Amino acid sequence: MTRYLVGRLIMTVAVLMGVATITFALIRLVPGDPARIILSEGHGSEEQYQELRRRLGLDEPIPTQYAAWIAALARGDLGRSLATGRPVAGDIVDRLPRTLELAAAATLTSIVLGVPAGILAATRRNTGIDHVISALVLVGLSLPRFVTATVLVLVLGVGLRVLPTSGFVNLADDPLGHLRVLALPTLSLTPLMLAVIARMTRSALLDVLGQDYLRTARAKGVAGGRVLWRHAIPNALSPVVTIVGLEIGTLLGGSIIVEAIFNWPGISSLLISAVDARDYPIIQSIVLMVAGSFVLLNLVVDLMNAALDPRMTRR
Amino acid sequence: MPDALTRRRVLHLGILSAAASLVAACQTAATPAAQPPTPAPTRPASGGTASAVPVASPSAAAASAPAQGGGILRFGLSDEPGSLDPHVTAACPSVSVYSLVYSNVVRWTADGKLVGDLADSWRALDDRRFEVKLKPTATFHDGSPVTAADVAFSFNRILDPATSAYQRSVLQAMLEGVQAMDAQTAQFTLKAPNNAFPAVLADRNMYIVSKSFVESGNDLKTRMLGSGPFRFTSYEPGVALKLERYGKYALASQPALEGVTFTPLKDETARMSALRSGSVDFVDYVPARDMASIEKNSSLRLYSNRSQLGQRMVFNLKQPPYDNLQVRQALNYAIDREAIVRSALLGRGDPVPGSRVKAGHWGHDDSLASVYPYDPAKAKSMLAEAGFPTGFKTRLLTTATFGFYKDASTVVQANLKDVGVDAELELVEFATLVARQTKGQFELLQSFFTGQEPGDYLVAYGAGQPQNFGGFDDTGVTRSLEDALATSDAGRRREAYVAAQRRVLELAPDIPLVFREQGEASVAKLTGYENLAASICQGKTLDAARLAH
Repeated sequence: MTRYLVGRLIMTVAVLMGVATITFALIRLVPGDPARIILSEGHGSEEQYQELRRRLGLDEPIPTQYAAWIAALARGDLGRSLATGRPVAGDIVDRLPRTLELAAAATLTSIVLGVPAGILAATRRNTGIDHVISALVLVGLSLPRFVTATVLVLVLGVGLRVLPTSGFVNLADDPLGHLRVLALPTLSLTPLMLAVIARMTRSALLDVLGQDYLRTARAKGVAGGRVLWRHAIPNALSPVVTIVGLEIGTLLGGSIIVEAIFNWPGISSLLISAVDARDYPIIQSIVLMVAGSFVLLNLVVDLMNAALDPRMTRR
Repeated sequence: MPDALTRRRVLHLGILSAAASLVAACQTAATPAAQPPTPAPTRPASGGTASAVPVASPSAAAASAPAQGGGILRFGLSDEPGSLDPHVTAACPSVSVYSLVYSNVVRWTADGKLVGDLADSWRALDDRRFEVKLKPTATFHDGSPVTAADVAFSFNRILDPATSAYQRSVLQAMLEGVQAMDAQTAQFTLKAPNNAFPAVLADRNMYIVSKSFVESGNDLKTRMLGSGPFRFTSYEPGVALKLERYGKYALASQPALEGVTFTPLKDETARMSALRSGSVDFVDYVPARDMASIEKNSSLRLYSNRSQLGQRMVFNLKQPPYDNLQVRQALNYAIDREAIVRSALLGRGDPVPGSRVKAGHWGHDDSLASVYPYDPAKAKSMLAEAGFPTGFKTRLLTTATFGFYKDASTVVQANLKDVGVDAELELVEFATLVARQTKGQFELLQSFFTGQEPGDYLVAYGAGQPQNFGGFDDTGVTRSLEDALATSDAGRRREAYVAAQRRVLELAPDIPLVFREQGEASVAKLTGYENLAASICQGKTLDAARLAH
């Protein structure tokens, strides 16, 4: 087990190094020069341009820049933004929790609504309720998030003016205001995930409901409600848990567009402005962080599986 | 933002200056980060009379009227302010913030007069030295007085290469040095006579910062301490930048608004939704497609003007076929500029079939207004004469980052096809376009122009100038423009400037296309705000605005 663990950790570090290297190289292959962009606001004489490049360290050979970056990373230093001079780590610490909050709110809403909807549809199979739920699920699966978001802005924000379309406030400053601003982006992210969860719950439950052990339970006189809640649902939920995990990944992707539409000050908006400005340290750090969290998640899952099933460590 | 962001400009009643700077700003509303280079040579005041003469400023005239409850204005800003250094960032969204926090030595009024901001009065000691007396009532937001030492410190900071100041090259070209003679008196020494120098001090990014504040280790990139009507309270990137009224402001009347909260709303759809849904009270950079609906909406107000912010197609003069004069002239006749205004700007703009200097400006000449009317037949025959009877293939570098660029390019592509020229659109992201235009890596380039002063022309058509992307180099044009900039004789200046415009049109280094309308919008209960044709970035006039309850 120890050997397996060590092997996996080495692999993880290697993957992260690879991601770091590829990100570093790719962003420099894209045309655009941060110093030119910063100076294009100004009169940008060639002399000023060279001076700025020198100050930002962009005049060093690429391998030198790369070595300096890796060395700083090893010390846990993400560097400073080229455009604002602020420490990158600080910007990320400010913004990441907001993106996670959005993802968590959407996940929670989807589970709270999606699981009961799936149970209802499965237990009322082929009734009107089932058909209505299935139809809504189909709508949810088909609606792109940018459409949902735009419709919500137009109807709830601009038309009825019941919810704000932007204007982030911190939870600590104004809890109610914060929840109001959170509402529309959360509702935009929810339908797709909700639909996926409801559909998975319904089919998993139908599967389980057809199993022999449930017939046996009923045969020996267990009450209908108890069969469902005690025996069927717990067994049906494990694929649902898996799908929720997968969907959280796509949520982070979907949040890019939703953050832009609602001006939610999360990690995606930081990434987008950094790409516009070719702010290398910010781009590199965010990509590395996102890639790193996927890798770590994988590692955790593998380790849990290894703990549950020792056969896995014997490869 | 392509060139981005600025707004209106000076020029109005003869003001000028600053023009070039604006350029950049105006252009795109959207993206701040990348503005196009904007050089801003200074020029003499238009109107011919460069008033070099000391004008007593109506200075503190309006010392604080009691301001009562004007509310807190929520301003949806088209870009993240980013770095707060008032000498560095020249994008309009940032300037809107700075102009409320910082003071200049002198400033423009709404009707185009130069008045003292920090200055009580100023006068020329001789043709190369100006003396400025500061208002004794001027204080920074920490309560300390604004002194001549702060003025000297600020200009030295702009001149210091380590600052990377926006105005450095402008100042360096004309300013020998600034000295504090006593607490209230600063003396500017110029490298050459320039009677329009005071106007330069009213330009953006010529702000006075506190010497002691900077020297005690405060970072101007993250904190602001000025002497303007509003005081900086906090900035959380992506969320809000907050200002509150400075109670001891005495340079002009106290603002009615109790504060201004800027929320960065980069996406123009999000910005307009925020205004319509009541999340903000004011927005800058209203896209053309929203202008008509705002005008019709009785709960909103639109402030706009026909700016001098324009679009053009630049030829790469170093490559065939654009090294051929006849080809360039032919393509100028091939473009239907009215169609660009209709489709790309939804009618919110004006075609530019000739000189960009508008009627009413001292440098305008009627004979140059429509040198290249839409005439595809003529274009075709000129192309044939030039040796391209069947046209040619070319590539047009443009960007989808700004709809008005992409849409204009599409019309140009169709127009060119009509005369046999097969143009392939290269739609790249804006940062890529900036990189390639600087290096001259294009055949035909969708670009911008701004301002109508000789200095603006010099920036675009002088050899080696920052907006001269196509490599245009003509000594006649350069000399005429330099004459126009140097002389103080109104007649001679006009003559030289008209000659330069005529020569540029003859040599056709680009295809002028259109001017875009530029505007802001607010809720109807905001009063007192004015869109100044004479200023590039509009934030300043918010000091006279108030929100009704």
